Amino acid sequence: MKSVLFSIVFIVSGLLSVIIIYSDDLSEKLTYNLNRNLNVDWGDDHPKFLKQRLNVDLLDLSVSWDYFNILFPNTETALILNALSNIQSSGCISKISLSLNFKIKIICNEIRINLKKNKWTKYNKLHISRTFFFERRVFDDLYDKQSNFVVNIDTTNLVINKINLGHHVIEYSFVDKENMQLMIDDGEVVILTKKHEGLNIHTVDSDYFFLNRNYFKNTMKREITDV
Amino acid sequence: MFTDKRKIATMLMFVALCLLYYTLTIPSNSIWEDQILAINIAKDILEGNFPLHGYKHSNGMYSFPAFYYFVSPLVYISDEPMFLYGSVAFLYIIGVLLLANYIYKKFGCFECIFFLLFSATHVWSLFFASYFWNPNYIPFFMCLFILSLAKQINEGSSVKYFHVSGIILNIIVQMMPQTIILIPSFVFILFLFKRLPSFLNQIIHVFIQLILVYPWVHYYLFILDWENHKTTGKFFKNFSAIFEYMNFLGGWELTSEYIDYAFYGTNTYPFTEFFDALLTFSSILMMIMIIFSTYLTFSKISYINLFNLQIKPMNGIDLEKQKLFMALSIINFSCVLFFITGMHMTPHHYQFLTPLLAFNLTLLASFKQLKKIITPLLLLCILMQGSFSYWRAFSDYRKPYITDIGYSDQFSRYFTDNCKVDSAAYILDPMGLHFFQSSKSDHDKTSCGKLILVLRDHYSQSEIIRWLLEKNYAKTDMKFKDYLIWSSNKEL
Repeated sequence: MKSVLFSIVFIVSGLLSVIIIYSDDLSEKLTYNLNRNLNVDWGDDHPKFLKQRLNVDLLDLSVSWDYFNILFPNTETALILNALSNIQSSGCISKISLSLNFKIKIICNEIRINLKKNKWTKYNKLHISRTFFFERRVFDDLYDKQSNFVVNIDTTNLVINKINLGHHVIEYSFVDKENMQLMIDDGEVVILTKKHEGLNIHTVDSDYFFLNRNYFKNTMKREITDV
Repeated sequence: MFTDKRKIATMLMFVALCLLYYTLTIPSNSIWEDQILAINIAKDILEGNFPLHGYKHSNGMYSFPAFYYFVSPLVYISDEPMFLYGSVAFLYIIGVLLLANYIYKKFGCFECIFFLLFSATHVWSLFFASYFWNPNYIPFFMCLFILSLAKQINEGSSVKYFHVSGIILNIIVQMMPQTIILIPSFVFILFLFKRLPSFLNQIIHVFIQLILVYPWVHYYLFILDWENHKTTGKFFKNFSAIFEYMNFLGGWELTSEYIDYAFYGTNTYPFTEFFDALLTFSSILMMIMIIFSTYLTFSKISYINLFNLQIKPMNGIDLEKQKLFMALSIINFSCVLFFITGMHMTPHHYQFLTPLLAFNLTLLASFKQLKKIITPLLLLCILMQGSFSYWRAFSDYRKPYITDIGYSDQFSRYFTDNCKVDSAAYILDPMGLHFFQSSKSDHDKTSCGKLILVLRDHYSQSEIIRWLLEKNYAKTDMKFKDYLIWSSNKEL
């Protein structure tokens, strides 16, 4: 038993020493890999990433960037991703802390989001989108792969459609495989629930619903809107 | 004479329970591409075209051909889905009865009853034996394998059974390649109990194995166009094997209506949370018993040197029973290889555990020192598993889908009898609106317009379904099973 414990301690400390000694090289390699992966062109219907000075620091468990823009595909369809034209972030640093969940804290100087307007149909307390439909496949990855993540975004300036809303802290985490919880400024809680029929967004006041493609096509006449 | 009557009564009870379950569930099963492809390949065989492989698995690998050759006589008798689905259930019952008979003869009534009770209630085992699919015949072959293995490790002449076990294993692996882990555990068991046959027999057996898989190997070596062949690896995908193993033990995934690798599970609304908790609890209990079995097994193996392992006898337990118990635990333990290799697993991959689990836990409960603790636990598991299995069967019978093999024709007749030619039936469920069929009737009946069929449960569950129906359609007085029928013709 002692020898087994000794071997484990030896292997773990050996690995840690290697990581510390070669941390700069490893950080460089990780930076290269992350940049390379983000540069991959996945096709016209996938978001594209524009970034400047995106760096990984292994010992600090952090990623920093000067600016990072997500450009959403502008395919003129009613897919929910087209509700956003782009998200721009600048002067950011993100830190990862390891506990039972991965906690990622992103501190930014500014985040700009361009949102397209949505038209709604009302049914009881439910507001059903007439402009966009929900594609479950797109969100499955987010819900499945990030289910152990808690992401906290702290931005000095949150600008939505050119209106500066000032300082905001937004935190999202996953309650389970179907429910994502969004907390805004430690106050308002919004729950995004993936359902077979679409995406339900539950706020304190009312519920908003994006139908899945099948329902949308069978019920809605698409209404195009601007930002 | 009295004990024989008890055996027959127990077996009859098992058959009655299974008949009840399958009578309720088989007509409520769906048919999808895998079944149609398998039937077509079996028909090819009957016409004299002998395939070297079957259709592709989800990972892009072509399936082995043994399954199609095995089912071709069945397809010759009838290609009706109900018959083929029934054949899986029939062979499951036969396999379990053969093994139960052996258990009764070797170990007694107590073990036999528990084995049969477990087999008649285990959620996934019963579910998989209710439809026609490559891996679903595995429990039958696994029963034969365990019988052969038992004779091999406990009886004098083992060579014959060594070859028989090996051939059965080959068939099992051909039906589900993941079961390849049975081979190293089989070899280890023979090595542990010093039952490995002579080197000559081992060589002969390697040739037997090669002959059995040769068609597939030949296809891959000489025919396959490798440049256009895409596969997705199954290794180092994730470490979900342990959760899926527990899922197989408890069956909690079946409480969802839409599940992976089967057309659908069960709509448990509004009892989903209750059944989830019930099955999770039974899964934890079973896991505890399995971990204890594994501990008990490995604590009785003494390491002398690399080529010599010895078994320490358990107090007051017949050696034959102990050896079989250890062999089953070792096979069960080999599932850790799925975890270590990060293999992507789902419950149907674990079907080889079906009779093995029942037998293993039954033997554990029969050990004198443990009887008082394990028996109530096992009974509790059986009760929990059985409650859900038979509730599910009844629910399937009461609320089938009109696309199910036993009900689609019934609905077509109903539709033709009630609606004239310019009518179309659609199914509305949480996924959306789907065309089902148009009326073929040319009688002078009422035009039903666009008929929308929605299950009562879906209507209660989904606000979107209610919105869609209330906005566009009118409820009719027509009724089929548990469906509410709405129509675009508001005068119906």
